[in-house]
Amino acid sequence: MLKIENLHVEVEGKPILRGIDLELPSGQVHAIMGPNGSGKSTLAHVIAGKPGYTVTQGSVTYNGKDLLALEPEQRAGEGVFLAFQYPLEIPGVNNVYMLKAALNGIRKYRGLPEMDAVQFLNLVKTKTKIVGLKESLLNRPVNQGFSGGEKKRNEVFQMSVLEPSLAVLDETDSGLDIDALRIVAEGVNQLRDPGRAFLVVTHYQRLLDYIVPDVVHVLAQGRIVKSGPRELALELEERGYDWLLPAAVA
Amino acid sequence: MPLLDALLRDFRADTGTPLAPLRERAAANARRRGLPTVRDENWKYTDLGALTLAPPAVATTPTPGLADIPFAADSAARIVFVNGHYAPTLSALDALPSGLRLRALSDVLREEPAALNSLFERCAADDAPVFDALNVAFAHDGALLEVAADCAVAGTVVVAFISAGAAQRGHSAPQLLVRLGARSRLALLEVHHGREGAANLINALTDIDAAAGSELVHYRLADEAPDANHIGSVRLRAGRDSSLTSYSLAFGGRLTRMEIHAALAEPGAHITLNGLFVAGAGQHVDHQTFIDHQAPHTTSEELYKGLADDDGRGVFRGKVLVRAGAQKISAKQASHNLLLSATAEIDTKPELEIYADDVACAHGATVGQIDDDTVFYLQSRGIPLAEARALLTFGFAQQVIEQIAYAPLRAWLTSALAGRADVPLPTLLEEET
Repeated sequence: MLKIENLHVEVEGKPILRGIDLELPSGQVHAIMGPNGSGKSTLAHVIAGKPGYTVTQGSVTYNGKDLLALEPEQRAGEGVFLAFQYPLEIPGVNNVYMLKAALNGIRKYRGLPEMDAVQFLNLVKTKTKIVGLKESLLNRPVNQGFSGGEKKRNEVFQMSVLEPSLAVLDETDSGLDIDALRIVAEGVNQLRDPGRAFLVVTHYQRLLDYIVPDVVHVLAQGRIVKSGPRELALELEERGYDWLLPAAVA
Repeated sequence: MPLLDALLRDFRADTGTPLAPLRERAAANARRRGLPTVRDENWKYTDLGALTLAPPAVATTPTPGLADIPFAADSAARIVFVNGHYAPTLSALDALPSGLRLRALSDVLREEPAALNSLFERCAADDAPVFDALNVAFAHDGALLEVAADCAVAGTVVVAFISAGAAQRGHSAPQLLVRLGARSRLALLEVHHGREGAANLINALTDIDAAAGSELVHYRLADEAPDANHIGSVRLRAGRDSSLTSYSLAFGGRLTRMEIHAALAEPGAHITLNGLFVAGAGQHVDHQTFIDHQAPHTTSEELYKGLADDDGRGVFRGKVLVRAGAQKISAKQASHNLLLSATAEIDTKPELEIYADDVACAHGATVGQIDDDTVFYLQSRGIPLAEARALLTFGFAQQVIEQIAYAPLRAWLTSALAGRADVPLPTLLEEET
């Protein structure tokens, strides 16, 4: 269970998140929606531990552990995974090398032995099929020369190999056409599991046609202004965000 | 005693031998001109002022055996020199491929000194670079490698210059002469390897003449002992439709200077110059390349990558000259550098000098640091910070390493880089299939 309480975050002295409360139980999918600049990506980054954000108040705990006290790689060890909005290209670093280093880093954190080469390759082959990643991309430098869709699919592929218990998807739909979106969403759906929670950050509700959430939260001006069932997303699609903004409510 | 005086004090012309007058002239030129200073454009970032010649090393290191020779296990044809002298027992010259002739220069100097005349004359000329002059003044051994016309030599030939603690004096001047016949093919690894306490100045000269239609891959690895200084000059002449690929790889030593002069002398010649260096604590690595497009329809490509850590210091200066009348030229140059600490420094300077108008030239130079966002990306996948940085450092170098066809050298470079990193990188050492 991910538990966020009264989370306040600043970037270079400017408040971005202003008191977030959120509980995401294992097995559920929660969507975070909201207009541009509402702090959606900040929330995703702070959960994963990206530097450059200052938490001024509040807490983020995962399965009772204080996530904010952990390095990003330790959070990964605890089961956290962030699917990037803009996956980075890493020239010279082979996709599979990187993934093996990641998996073994996580296993080491958990006190497990490193996976041997044969086991690892079998795992990779299986997962490649499941998420529909082209095998030719496996031994290429990470994300280099990948299309937008291939990069996002590579994120889902990494997620399927690392098997996080908390996956945060940061605008995974951005830059994808409808076919790519469907394929990526299918990959995510295959990973849905009673032991795994998803936090899906998105601007548009169309992703939620494919990844159906249990709860939708609306983030605006650094606060969650409304939470509701999946139908809330459809309402947002129709009415926009303005009616929920604090100024409009007041 | 200043370095030059200390060097010249040991000068012996071998009076009576055919090359003695040229040696005398070269030594006199060096004495007259003095060592380059930072006022010389070519030496702006490399100050030789503090360089001294230490007294001869005490023989504490045992004579090297075959196990001490890098790449010995992976070379069919091999010639080895220890402290500047041909070491027959460490060499493998019995089963040379047909068309390949590989001889020690000490033998050539005795039996056929005329073969070296033109090289000695060139280096003894009044305007020859001072270290070339010093090289021929002192050169008494090295390798002469000749490939017959139309001969494709299989495998990679290894020429190894080993400096060990048993040096008789703190200076060696090895030579490597390569003569490629028309349409011949050769892959060559020239390795300079120093062991603890080794000779403290290695002034090496490599001279390559590639006849029409020949193809050469030349790997040049300088991995000197921690206290050693390596000054290496490579002179290349590329004939009609020849294709030369060079890798300049600098890892060890206190001061490593690698200079390449490549003359694209006839139409259709192509040259690729690649380089990779690592400058760690107390190390200074200086690469100078000069590509001379003398003939029309010649092409060149260049990719140098530099890494500097601690207070390491790197220099790259790449000059491309397109001479008047040399039309239809393509020249691409890139120098990319990565600083791994706040006290490291790399200076890079591309220079284009073009006297023709139908020319496509491009150059790019960068000096940067490891990208924080990329480090976070790797950390978020579960890779610890130090390992993430090492992985990105390795990835940076990998773009040069992966082009190397000789697998033992790729493995050597990979493990040298892993050894430099503070963390083991076992996952990187495997070759994916």
